[in-house]
Amino acid sequence: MTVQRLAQIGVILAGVLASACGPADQPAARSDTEAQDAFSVTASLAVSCSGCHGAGNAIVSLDGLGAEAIATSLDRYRTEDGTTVMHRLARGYTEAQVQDIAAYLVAEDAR
Amino acid sequence: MIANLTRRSVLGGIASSALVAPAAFAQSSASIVVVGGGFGGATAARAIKRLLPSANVTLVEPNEVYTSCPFSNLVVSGDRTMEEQSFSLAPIANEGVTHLRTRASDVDAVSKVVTLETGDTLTFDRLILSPGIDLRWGAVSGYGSEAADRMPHAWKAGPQTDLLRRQIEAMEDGGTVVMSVPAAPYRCPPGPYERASLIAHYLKIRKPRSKLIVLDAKNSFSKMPLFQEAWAEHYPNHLEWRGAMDDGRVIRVDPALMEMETDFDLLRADVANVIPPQKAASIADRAGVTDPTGWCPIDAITFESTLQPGIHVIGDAAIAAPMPKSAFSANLQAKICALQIARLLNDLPSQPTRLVNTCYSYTTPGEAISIVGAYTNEGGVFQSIAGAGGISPLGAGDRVRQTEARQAVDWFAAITKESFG
Repeated sequence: MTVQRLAQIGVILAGVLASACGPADQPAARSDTEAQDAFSVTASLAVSCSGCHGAGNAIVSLDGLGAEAIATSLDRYRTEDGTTVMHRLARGYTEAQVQDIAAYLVAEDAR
Repeated sequence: MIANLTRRSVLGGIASSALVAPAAFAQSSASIVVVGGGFGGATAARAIKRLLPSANVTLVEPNEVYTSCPFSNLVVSGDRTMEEQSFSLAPIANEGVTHLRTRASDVDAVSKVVTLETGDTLTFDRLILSPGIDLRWGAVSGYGSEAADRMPHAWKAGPQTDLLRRQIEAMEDGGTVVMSVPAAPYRCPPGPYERASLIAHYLKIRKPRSKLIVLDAKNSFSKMPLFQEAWAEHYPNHLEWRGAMDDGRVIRVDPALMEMETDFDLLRADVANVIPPQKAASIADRAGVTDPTGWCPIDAITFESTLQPGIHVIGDAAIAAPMPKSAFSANLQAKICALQIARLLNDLPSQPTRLVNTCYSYTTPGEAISIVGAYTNEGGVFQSIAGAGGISPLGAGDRVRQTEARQAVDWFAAITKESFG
């Protein structure tokens, strides 16, 4: 995977995250099911991303990506050779976990 | 929308989105006390408050400004200023956390009371200790706290970092810098070797007749093949590393004579950087959460002490191996610990997950290498995930190293924002 591609993914993901603000601003709008999600395993898996991809000066910003794009990118990191930290980190997750993380981030966006 | 933007800028990215409390679970009015305002404690205080907005969250930290150890080796080599290492804890108060600018002097784990240096007390439902390290004065014979004025450790960023920088700057060309590195575990496993690289770079450029000798109590270390590759390429005449099998272990120092002694050798240093053995900071002893190693055993899912219920330990003080004692680890452990405490306070069972660590080290001011790990915490024990993690490729060339140096800068910006707001 190229650096450009990595940056592209970054831009997308950051957007997803940045727009996922404020559930606590409208607590009444959340259902119990949604509430469960914030304390879910997937939520705790997704937290690992924040050390590099939090708001502000992320290594790569993840603005504007959908779940499919995030999952596809992570899956490429899992399966392709490369020199970045992501090539070594993504192998720590199953394909199902990658799908869940991607879906979780986008669901946060929708909220 | 303006309110949202403000909130967003205060809370930050994934952490905020993932860790803002759902309404159903946000009602706990528990008292949470966090001791220590570094990468672990500052993060934990903010994360708990986001998850449990009704909780009383108190951060006990004497300093108003945190000085970051990550990137401080670039200060030692003259490539960065101390101001760039400084992070105000003031924004934490804007997020509803009470910041008490004092030190915790004692913890009663049974009555769940923290005593402060002021004499005041705080009761807690859950206590998060993120106290960092203490140096084991005297573990290297002759190296007490006064010795650090002459032979800086610079292993807690701040005046010691400045002191080491000034000594290296004042040293005449032709001088010898000697660094002593302890056995594991200690804060930031690859840190001594990054520092060695950057000091050697400074000597090569500015004082080319000078040399750095690294005396190591170990025979192998983090990112070793990558560091050795870089040293052979960049510093063949300016950096000499001696492992334990080559009589590298320092057993005694004499600050007055600037001498460092191994089993069979005695070296005179013009600048001596003694990185001594370490342990969890002493408040952990007071709380009864340290074991005979001096560090704190924990349940890897909740970070709750295995010795004292109700007290959680995160960051460098915790025994989390194979997770290293790094800023990335402390920041992530804080978020996971906060999430699990929020679950516990809402009568939800604790829940295993996966964690990662990412750590960049500079080999020159413009080139860096990395190590990463991915871990499970099933059964309350950390285990590396087979097939994941590892170091940058060997022989990857300048472009890859330069790319990782740029990513390191971005990582530092991200992790400090995630931790301090």
